[in-house]
Amino acid sequence: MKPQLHEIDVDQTLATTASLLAGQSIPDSVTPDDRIYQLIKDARKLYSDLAEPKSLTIEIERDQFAELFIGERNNHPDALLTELIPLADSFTLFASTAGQKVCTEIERLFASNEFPLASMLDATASEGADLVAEITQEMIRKQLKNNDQLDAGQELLRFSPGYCGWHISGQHKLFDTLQPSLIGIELSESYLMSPLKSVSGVILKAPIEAFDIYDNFPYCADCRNRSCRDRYHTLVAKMENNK
Amino acid sequence: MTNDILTQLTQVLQTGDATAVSDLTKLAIDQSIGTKIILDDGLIAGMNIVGERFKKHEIFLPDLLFSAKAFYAGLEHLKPLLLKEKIASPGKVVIGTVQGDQHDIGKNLVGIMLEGAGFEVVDLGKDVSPEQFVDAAVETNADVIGMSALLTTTMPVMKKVIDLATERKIKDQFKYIVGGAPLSDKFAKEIGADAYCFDTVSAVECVKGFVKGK
Ligand code: B1M
Repeated sequence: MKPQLHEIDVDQTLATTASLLAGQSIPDSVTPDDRIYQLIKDARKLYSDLAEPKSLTIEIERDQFAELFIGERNNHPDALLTELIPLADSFTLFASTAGQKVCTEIERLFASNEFPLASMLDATASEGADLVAEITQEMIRKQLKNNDQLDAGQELLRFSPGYCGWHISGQHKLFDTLQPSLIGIELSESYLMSPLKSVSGVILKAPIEAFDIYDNFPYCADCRNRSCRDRYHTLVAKMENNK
Repeated sequence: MTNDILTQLTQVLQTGDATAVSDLTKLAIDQSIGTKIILDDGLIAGMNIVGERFKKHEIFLPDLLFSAKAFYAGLEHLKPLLLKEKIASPGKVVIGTVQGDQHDIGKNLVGIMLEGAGFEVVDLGKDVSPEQFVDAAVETNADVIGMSALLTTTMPVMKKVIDLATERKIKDQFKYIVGGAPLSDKFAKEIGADAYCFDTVSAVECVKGFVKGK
């Protein structure tokens, strides 16, 4: 398969005011003052002006993914994908980014002591990068559906090196195959992507039950996100809605 | 009069009004309230209250950062005087994101809060090599070396910094604090660091503890 480049509408990747407030650990019960709303407004405007969301995807065969997944042989012995690979029947590598301009602006703001805006723009761009990946997954889902390749009971979920026992060095082989430099994403020797607000991984298609994952693997103790259960429940809800 | 200005200064600092903090600091300087008094009883006193309220979740990160911005607006006027009058800070921290890592938001926040607590911070930026950490700590006669990493692959650099100081037989001249999402207390102990700091509040508390114990 050939790689596909996806230019994504920036406003689709714009974090909502509610999610940005939640990201600052501001509880629902608290009404933030006007300056915080203004800050969020300014950060969203800056993001909207500067972000250049893009992603690159390529569908590969199961065997090819299984080999790529072994990577530098650093994965945890109980890595989740070891169980999922036999259950999935479609493997799409992806790399997504919010672009360099927004990252440069965050640095500039910090250097000029504009800490509140710098930090809020950082949070907006972090969410933005995740949303670029989410929209990319949605695009792949639509393509599969349009081609009658999404069976009833099947769903898509994405996984990234650095999570779920898939070692972060797994990005090396992923980059060799996908070549995200085509959209300006580079990988350093320490497996850091630049632009900073970038995400890499694989989108799997499998029966939805396969994604009913519990956060009780040994490596889960090191994970601060623990969003896997939420992601599964979101999938189930989406499936119900699509019925 | 002195007390009035200082009380007002701590108050406007808490509301994060950078213009008012700047104006009041200038006024305090014009009124010849001592530089150290303005810093300690005005700006730092205000930041201490803000830090406590943040710790108790009475205010949130954006509020804290509005106050930090205001603090710097005041500090700007005091810095030349602090230098001229050779007023030493209670402690000096060399801080940076380790080699191979570019994540610096957490490190920046820690640096801001340490300055807000009155410490002198030498920020080496990101992608900092072990040599740069140790050389800067020696050159600036630092008390603490603070290292940040957000990737498991760059965490080993922290050990290299401590090993390099050991090799140069100067390890005990400094305390070492480490922080960042994938780190833990266990990791800090394993590499010989003095403390793992979960967040800005714990970083400030740790450094205060080290400097007090000197
Ligand atoms: C000197 O003394 C001190 C003392 C305290 C110190 C200190 C120094 N330094 C920090 N502290 C402490 O105080 C600060 C203030 O409270 C804190 O600083 P932080 O920098 O931690 O906090 C910031 C203010 C806010 N926190 C953050 O910005 C990071 C939050 C989490 C959720 C996170 C985010 C948001 C993102 N990420 Co990613 N991300 C995670 C993070 C998990 C987590 N919950 O922490 C982490 C860092 N990410 C991870 C990964 C794997 C990745 N991420 C990636 C991407 C992303 C986003 C783009 C979606 C986004 C933004 C990234 C960024 N940082 O700009 C990828 C890499 C990106 C790249 N450029 O290379 C990718 C590799 C995934 C992929 N394959 O795409 C993990 C790294 C673990 C590892 N294996 O190395 C991770 C820990 C998540 C996990 N698995 O639990 C404390 O740590």
